[in-house]
Amino acid sequence: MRFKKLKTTVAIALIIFILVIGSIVIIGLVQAAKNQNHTPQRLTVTNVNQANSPQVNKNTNNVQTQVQTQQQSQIIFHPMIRTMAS
Amino acid sequence: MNKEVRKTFGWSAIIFISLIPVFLLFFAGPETTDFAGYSGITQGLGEIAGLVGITMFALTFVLSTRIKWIEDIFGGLDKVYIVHGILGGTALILILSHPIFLVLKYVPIYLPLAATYLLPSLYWAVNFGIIAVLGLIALLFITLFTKVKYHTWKFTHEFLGLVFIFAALHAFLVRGSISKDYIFHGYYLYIAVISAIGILAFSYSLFLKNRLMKNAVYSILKIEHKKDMWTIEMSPEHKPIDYKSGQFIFVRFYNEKLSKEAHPFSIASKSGSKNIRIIVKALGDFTKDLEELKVGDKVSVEGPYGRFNFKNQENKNQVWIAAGIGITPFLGMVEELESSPNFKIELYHTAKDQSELIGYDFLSLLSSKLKSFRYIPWNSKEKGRRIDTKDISQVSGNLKEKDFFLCGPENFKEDMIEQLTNRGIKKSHIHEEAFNFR
Repeated sequence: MRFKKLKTTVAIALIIFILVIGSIVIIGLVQAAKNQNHTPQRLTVTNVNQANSPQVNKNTNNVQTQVQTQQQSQIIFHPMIRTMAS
Repeated sequence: MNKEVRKTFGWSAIIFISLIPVFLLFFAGPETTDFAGYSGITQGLGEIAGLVGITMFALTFVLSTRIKWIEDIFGGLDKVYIVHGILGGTALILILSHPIFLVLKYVPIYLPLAATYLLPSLYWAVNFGIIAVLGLIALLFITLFTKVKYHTWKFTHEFLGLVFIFAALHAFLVRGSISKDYIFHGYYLYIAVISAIGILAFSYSLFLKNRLMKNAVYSILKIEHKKDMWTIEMSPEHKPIDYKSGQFIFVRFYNEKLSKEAHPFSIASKSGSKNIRIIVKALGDFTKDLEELKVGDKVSVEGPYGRFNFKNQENKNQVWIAAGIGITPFLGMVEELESSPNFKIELYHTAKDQSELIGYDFLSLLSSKLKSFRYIPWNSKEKGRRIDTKDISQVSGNLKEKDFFLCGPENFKEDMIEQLTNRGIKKSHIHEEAFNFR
């Protein structure tokens, strides 16, 4: 079979590529989703009065704004640019 | 310059050209401190892998132009296609490692960030790169790991030009819009040259080659059909091509029931004959349709290609080993032995059964007539096994004094080359015809 060694090497490279890229994408996206789910839950509202108080509303709005900004930045900015900016 | 020196020169030139980005990175790139640390090393390796990969990718198109001087360097078009395949596979591996190395930079920082880096974004510079990688994987997977019909494979392979354009766009745009990092002085000039080489070579192969090459027109004079084999004799309509026995041609049959795709076939007639004879075994989808051919059908002939001829070697003491349909190039060569008395030839032909010993009567007759020629047919069914070098040395004596010519299925040739090298035969004394281009 022509290119027997080459075919084997390419097959190994493809498997490594799929495993590395696939696991980074899947684990990364799962982590991102977990982070998004966890952040708003840090707000614990103990009673309705507190929840309706101006301070709590302000905090909730701040967190929501932060989450939205984070989501937007993940969509708009490429990591290379964000790393440079940081 | 002998065959081995030319081949070494060809490979050295390919390796040197492919490594130009590495030299540029070291001699016209940033200070070495920029490549220090985990982040710098992964970034540097990613850039090198991508740039060397795209350079090799461009060179694969140059190798597929069928330009004569490239054929001369590597010792035949069949050998050029082997280099093309090795280079293409290596380019794929490097291009696959390009995003892996680059993303490794972000993995320790924040994994969701690394995931975002690998996915399509609003930046087309990145998306072009993703399209190129996925396209390259898909098209080379078809080439290396599937058994699609020849014309389907050829059709899919032509899309590699488009993939290369996406890769070139990525290389051009990514530095300006995304990475902003300094790679080396003259980066854009280098990418422009590589892109131009790749696109011009690819465009030449796809659009110009068939128009610029003056293919000879032949017509079918005689067709003999025996079991699953066709012997087709063709005579020239105008000027015949100038060929040597053992070479091969690309043949396109003008018959409405057959594919218009050109297919490679070994010439089975002697050097310089006006007519050309080919022997075809029904192995693939195209060859099975050959029963539709008629006497008088027009044929377009491109070539000749290849350097598989016994007179190209100084050693006149030669062993020719053919398996199955691999006998075809030898049939033309044996016709020249009467006028080449200085050569001492032993021809071994191994076949599954008696019916596959093509040219048995003719070769047996010639063997009894010529002192310088010996024909040793090997019926594997009768013998219960394939021929090996032990059988050959029992008949031919000391093998180290001889040059070997091999033609047949790939696994047979690989096995035979391994056995011969194990017996101390230098690879430079083994000459093979590689007619399976995929």
